[in-house]
Amino acid sequence: MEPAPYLYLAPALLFLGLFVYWPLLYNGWLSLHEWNLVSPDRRFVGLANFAALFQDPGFHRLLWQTLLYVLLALVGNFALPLLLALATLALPPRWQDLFQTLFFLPTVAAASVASLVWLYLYLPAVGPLAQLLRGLGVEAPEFLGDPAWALPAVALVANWKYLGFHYLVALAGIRALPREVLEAARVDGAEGWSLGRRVLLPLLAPTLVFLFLSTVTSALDYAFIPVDVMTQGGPFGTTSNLMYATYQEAFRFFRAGVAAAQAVLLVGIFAVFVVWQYRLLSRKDGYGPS
Amino acid sequence: MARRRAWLAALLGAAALLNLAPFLYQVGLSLAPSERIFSSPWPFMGFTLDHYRYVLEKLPMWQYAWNTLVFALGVSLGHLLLSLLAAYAFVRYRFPLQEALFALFLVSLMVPFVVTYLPSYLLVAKMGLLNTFPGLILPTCSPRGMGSSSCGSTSATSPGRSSRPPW
Repeated sequence: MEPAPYLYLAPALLFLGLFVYWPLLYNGWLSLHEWNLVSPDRRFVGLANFAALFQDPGFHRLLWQTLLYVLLALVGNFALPLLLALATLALPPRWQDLFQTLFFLPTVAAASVASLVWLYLYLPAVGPLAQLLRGLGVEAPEFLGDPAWALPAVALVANWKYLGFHYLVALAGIRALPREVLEAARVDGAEGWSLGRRVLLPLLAPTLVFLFLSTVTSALDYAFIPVDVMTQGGPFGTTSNLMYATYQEAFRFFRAGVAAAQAVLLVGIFAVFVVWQYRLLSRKDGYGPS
Repeated sequence: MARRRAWLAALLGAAALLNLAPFLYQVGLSLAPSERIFSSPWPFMGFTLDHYRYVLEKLPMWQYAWNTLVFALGVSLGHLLLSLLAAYAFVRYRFPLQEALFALFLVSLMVPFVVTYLPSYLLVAKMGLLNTFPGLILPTCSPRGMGSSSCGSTSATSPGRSSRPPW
């Protein structure tokens, strides 16, 4: 047995172990306790934290809002960038470069800065959006103060911030398709729908899977800073999600056990979803990730 | 065909402009006189560098920039080094437990960062690294999800390679 590959892997595995997998295990252990982060005594409470969460209607709402964030991210950070990329690639190369730059440009602003700008754009009455809508004869809602509008308004900021990045990933994926295969298929008479369905889609599968999974798994990460800067989960908790609530439980309310239990459920949901999607989207034809 | 293309370009142009608008607004706002900022949705009539002067004179801007640079470079270098070494092992060698170890990288991608926040904080505290650059940089360096992107691209670009990776 050669030691070389293990030596190359050792540093990375050390870091993963220390800062991902150990925290994951520790978190599971913590979820069975009641602890306020500082007190020396940690009380073992078994599954009481989980039981309390499942009975809490606020937690059910949190799950629903988490799902909403993910669904909105799939529209704004998966479907939309993909469509934009496909449209871009139908244009001459010089135009492609131009659009690539234009769409990527807004993503250079830090998430916190972008959130602050949108906080200003969304201001009731005196904000630019409110004034603009008034000019058009529409009374603008309180984007961040109205429970019906707040979550989509916050999600929009998160999606806007990362649109350009996902667009670039989509572009790169489509550009990397083997041209010869497409040409050969065309020569063989494939065109339109059958070219898309039988040739393009299987070739694109790895890119689609990557983009889809990274959109789902990062939707809450992306929303975190906009939520924290613009609403802190309000009004009435309507813009919170499982991830933000976990952070609040731990670092605002100092209920480490409850936070850990929420985190365990969050990881569980993610894991089930990712495995299911991975199976669903994977293909064994030699192109998809098998 | 040419007309369809023109329509497509116009549509994309509109989308790009819409997408760019908040960003441009932000830049414009930084150059607009304070008294105009809340008075109209179009505050870009005057021009002033007062805001920039204020930031440079009244705030420790250089300190902020330095902190950002150290953190960003530290994380990038750490990430690059760890990921490159690991990726090299996966691509160049065949070894026992390869797939299981690769799964460790892949699975780390779906561990949300809030889950690791608290334990990482406690760990950093135990190392005595709170309020230091290493304490900030090291936990962020862990090469989460390394290779999931290379997994997508290697199989897409080189389907016929002789030494295909195991995934």
